Amino acid sequence: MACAQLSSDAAQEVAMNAKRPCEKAVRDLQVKGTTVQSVRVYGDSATVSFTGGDTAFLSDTKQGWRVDAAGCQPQAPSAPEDCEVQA
Amino acid sequence: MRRFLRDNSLSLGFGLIFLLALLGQAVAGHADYNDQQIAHHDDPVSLGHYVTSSSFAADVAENWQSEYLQFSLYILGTIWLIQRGSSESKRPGRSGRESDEEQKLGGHAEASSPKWARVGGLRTLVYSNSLLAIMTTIWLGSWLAQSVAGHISYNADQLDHQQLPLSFVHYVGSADFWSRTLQNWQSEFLAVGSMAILAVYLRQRGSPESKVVGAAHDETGGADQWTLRPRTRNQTLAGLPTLELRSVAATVAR
Repeated sequence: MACAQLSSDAAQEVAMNAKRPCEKAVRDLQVKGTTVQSVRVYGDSATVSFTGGDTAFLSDTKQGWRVDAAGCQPQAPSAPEDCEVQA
Repeated sequence: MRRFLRDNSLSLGFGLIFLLALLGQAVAGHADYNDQQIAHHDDPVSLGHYVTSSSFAADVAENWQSEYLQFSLYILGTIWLIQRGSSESKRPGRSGRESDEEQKLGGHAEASSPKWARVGGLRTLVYSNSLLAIMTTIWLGSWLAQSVAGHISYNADQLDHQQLPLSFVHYVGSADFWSRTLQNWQSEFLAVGSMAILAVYLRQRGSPESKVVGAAHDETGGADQWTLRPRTRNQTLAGLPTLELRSVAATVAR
């Protein structure tokens, strides 16, 4: 179910890193935060911030909004965030 | 109908090639956008989706704003700045906003003058500056559109790379915004400056943007101004139509 919310690239990356099917591998991911703090949408891209500090990045695909990256934490200013799941 | 087309061929011709160029930009931009989408493992988008996207809007608006800035600055600058010998310039000595008589305002207006040039007061003040006001308004409007669309487009790109978005205020101070803006401004300023100086020495027969081919290099101003600058009274008055004779006579009398 959770894997269906991921973009195809992100789901493949999760399965490949864990060397297990995405549906099983996704349960071991360290993604913090359950309450949405803010949502920002720009064109076909969006970011969702959760209380607890994690951020997810989504894109609008033909199947609807899908998660490209999740469990993200900021690194250096202006640098890409470091993510638990990343396409 | 044929007369309408002939009398408005300059506006209609440029309106038509504008629409064709915009359509071409949309088609080529759509293909390029989808190439990038595929390279990033994203879904291709339809043409309709692309032409309503922030990416397309920013690309269009950034060119529009620079063109309207160019003309606004040119209208403003040529009130006071002179390029001796250029068809794009007023003659030396005519620098400034000019008298009501020269501008045919109020009591100096002619029967065919627009009403707002005749009535005086606020309406004449507004009408006297209406061209610059509208061109500047379109420039500022399209620059605002560029900043809004560019902000969305920039942040969408940021999110694609798992980078945090910028606020609007931070975006209008960003390198991306000023790079997009200045790369257009510099080309417009170059084109205007080079046109002003090249028109001193070069000619295009039949174009009102050029002096007549036989005009001296130090003759300043377009075809109408050229006829208003007689070497001798008799030389200039000979052969001119009645209406032009009147304005030449008024000029000589001054």
